[in-house]
Amino acid sequence: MKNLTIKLLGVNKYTPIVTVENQKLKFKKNKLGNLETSFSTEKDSVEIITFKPLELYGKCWFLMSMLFFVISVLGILDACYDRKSIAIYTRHVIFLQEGDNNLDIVRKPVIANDKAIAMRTDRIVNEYYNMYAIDNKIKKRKRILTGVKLGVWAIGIISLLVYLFLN
Amino acid sequence: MENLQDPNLQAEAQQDQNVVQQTPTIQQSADQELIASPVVQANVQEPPVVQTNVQESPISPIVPPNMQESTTVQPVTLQNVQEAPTQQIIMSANSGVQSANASNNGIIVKPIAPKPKLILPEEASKCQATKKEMAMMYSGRLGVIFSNISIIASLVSICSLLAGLLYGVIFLVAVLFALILTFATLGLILLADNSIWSTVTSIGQDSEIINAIFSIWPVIAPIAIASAAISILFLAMDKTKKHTVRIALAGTALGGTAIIFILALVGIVGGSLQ
Repeated sequence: MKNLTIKLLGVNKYTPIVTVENQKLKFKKNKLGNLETSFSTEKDSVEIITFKPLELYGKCWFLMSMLFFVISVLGILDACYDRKSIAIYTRHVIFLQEGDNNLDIVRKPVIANDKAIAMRTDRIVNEYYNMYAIDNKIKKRKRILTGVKLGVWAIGIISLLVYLFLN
Repeated sequence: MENLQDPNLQAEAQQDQNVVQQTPTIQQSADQELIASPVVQANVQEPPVVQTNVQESPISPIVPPNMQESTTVQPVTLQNVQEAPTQQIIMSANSGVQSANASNNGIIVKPIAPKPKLILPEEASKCQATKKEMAMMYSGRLGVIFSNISIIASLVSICSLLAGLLYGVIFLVAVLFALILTFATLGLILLADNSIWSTVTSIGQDSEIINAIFSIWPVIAPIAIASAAISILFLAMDKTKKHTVRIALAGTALGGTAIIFILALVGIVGGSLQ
């Protein structure tokens, strides 16, 4: 049996989702305040995927955004979406040895086209994908939302002006 | 590597390779600037790969079948991730580096071409968040909205309540101003206009704006309290992101507005009883 202990470091604000062999891991805080979990397997190597879903990934993204737009008084009191549409997606394969295996996943500062995480371990790791990347799908959805919001504002201002002009 | 199909670029790449082979070393600094140094490896034909403390695996790597079909994946880098003392950079022809300048020691070589914008691979779309995770994110956004509402509403309600104090402040300022005028003109004003004191004391008490502001606090204060409580609830439910500052702000708004609201209510009740 091979035990893999994974620690998440540098994820104070955003906690990415980590999957090992397509199983989502649940992290718990250890004594030092870092997120930690363990995983047991018989395999020699396991695939580790780290990703952070964005809010506009959801199926009802448009309806929810419009709901928030209305609640937040036409977006005045709403929080801005991430401007750069940068998503985290990493894929690694770690080769395990019998007994305990330690892996620290350290998140790096957000810089486009830079590495998203660093893997600290004494085991061999194959890196397949590890970057902060721009998500074009989210970018497109944000453009649609911006257009709709601007349209609502334009209609509101025009109707207000018409009302003032008629009175 | 697509650029190498162009014969001009191929020739340029070949020239670059020759120059780089003569160069003792190329190291890449953190800000993507290349500086000449003693250790070197350069290969123009290969795609950009960064190898860190490369160690040969005793066993050949086992690649799962679902990883073999990926097309957008970068070339595999076998690496031991422990920090290595030095890094070896293998340059590509399309990395846009002026290699000719690298032969001179100490000269910083700047990249000419901009960095390509990396786009998420198609396989990333398989990683979907569950409904629970999406609900957490939505609750976080709702919490942010309500905390904004609570902060603004609490500020307005506090200002509305404090507007009552403006009567006194305006009265004092007016008295001070009148005193200055009085002493400055050595009493000539009093001689000219005997009704000045009644004019001064009436300033502020007739202000309709202050009355209007003061009258809205019973409406705004409960809104501030309710929205602060809701925002704390929603922000606490969001476990994908930490909202410590917002929760603290909403808590402060909740506490401050509640205290002032209770004090104002006690004052009103006490005044009506008397």
